[in-house]
Amino acid sequence: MDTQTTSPATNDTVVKTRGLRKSFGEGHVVLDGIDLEVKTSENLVLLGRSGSGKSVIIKCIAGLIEPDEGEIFLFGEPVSGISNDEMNKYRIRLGFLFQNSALYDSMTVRENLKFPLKRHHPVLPSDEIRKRIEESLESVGLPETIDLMPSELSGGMCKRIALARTIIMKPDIILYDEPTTGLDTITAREISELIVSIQQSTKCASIIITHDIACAKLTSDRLLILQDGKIGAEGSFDELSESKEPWVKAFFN
Amino acid sequence: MFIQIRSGLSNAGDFIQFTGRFFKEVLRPPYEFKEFIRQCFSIGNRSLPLVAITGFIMGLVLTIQTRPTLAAFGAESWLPGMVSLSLIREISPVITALICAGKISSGIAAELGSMKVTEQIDAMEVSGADPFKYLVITRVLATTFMIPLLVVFADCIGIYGGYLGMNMQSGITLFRYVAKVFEALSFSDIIPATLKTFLFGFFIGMIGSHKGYTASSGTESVGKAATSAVVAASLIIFIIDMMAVQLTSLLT
Ligand SMILES: Nc1ncnc2c1ncn2[C@@H]1O[C@H](COP(=O)(O)OP(=O)(O)OP(=O)(O)O)[C@@H](O)[C@H]1O
Ligand SMILES: [Mg+2]
Repeated sequence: MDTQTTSPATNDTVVKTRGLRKSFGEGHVVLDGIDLEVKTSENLVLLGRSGSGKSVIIKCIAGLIEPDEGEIFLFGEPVSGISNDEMNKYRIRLGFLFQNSALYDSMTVRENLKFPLKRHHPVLPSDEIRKRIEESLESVGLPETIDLMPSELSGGMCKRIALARTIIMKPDIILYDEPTTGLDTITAREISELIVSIQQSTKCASIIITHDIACAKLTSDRLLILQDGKIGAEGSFDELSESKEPWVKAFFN
Repeated sequence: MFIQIRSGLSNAGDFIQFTGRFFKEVLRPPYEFKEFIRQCFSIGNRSLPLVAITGFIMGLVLTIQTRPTLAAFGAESWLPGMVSLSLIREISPVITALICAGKISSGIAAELGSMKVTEQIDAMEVSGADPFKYLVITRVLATTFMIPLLVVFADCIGIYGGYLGMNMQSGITLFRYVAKVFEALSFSDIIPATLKTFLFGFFIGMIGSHKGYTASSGTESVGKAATSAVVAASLIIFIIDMMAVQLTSLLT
């Protein structure tokens, strides 16, 4: 009885942060108290000016940057201040798409995709690995690139391969750092649609950082706008785009 | 001036911390054995031709240059021994290490620097790998083992170069030449010279990794990391060499 009432509550929230603060150097405050929450299979879009600290937020969530203050919960459990080895248990369920794709230059596409699998599941049989690599390349529509090097791919293809490398772990939450930046509008739209279809087929949650309003419109269940290190506005796409506040409106023009 | 000294000191402090981290983590599993082997191959591959050519030329030139002096004293038969002694004790360790500082250390700094700038190091961390282990420890171990091997290789090629130089004027068989070389050498020449090459290798890897791994974001920092790695590694090589010479002359 008891377990039935508590388990949905912990399972429901995938990521939660409370009072996240971070400054760099002397007095350069980037985050000044961020509270956010993402629920299962929810797409949260983060908007904000360049340099407002969007990347810093999701790097804190992934344990790549240590916040100065505040708490982070992943899948209902506090992860602030835990060791790297412990953090890796949560990272199995967390995908990260980096702003510059961050494919490993010295490895082929196949090895790039194999890397996280091998690390997180060292005993996976090679048949299974091959199958998952092929599946995940198939789902981003680039099965023929398997033996190419990242330097032989275009920017848009790199983004897709990076996405394949992220979803190969079948994560419960994916953090997207500007998935469509630097792409033409058609390719950007394809990536946005890919994000939606991944979300629908795997039911994972996501946090999407973007400057691309079309992408935000397509993918978002809810939007947050960052302003001066705090969350300045929150709401659905329609609510915020109709906002009376001029600084909020400015994002949607 | 004051600012320069301060930043130099904080840099050195940083480096010492980085080296400390290396020793703390080097023995802790998991070991990245495959990547270590791959790095060894890549280091050998990249520097073997250059080391071979310079080693050969050093041996040849040294023989040709030394001959008139020795001939004036009628001591030409000392030539093989003298050339191989200077090669093994001093010239090939230092020249090989300097070449590797220019090629390997800067290469490591540029590679890790660009991985840092393009967030590949972050990506590794999210993928459950320890980037310090995977990138830094493997490379430092690889240079520590490979530089001594390259030096031995340069010694051999240099001695062969000396043999060719000798043969330009007087006929001597390779067998007799090598016999003369071994007559002149003792373990007290070879062991200190080999020991210092491990130190050269260690610092070549360590400095390159440190400069690359701590590069700040922005593409120009990659170039900066590479050049400052060459400068720092070359300087360290001379300093270690000087200390090694002092130490061996004290001990023997
Ligand atoms: N490792 C770091 N060291 C020092 N300062 C940093 C570091 N990472 C980020 N910053 C600073 O934090 C601020 C926010 O950076 P962040 O990368 O989060 O911006 P962003 O909102 O993602 O911008 P963009 O849309 O351009 O990617 C910037 O002013 C940046 O200089
Ligand atoms: Mg960013």
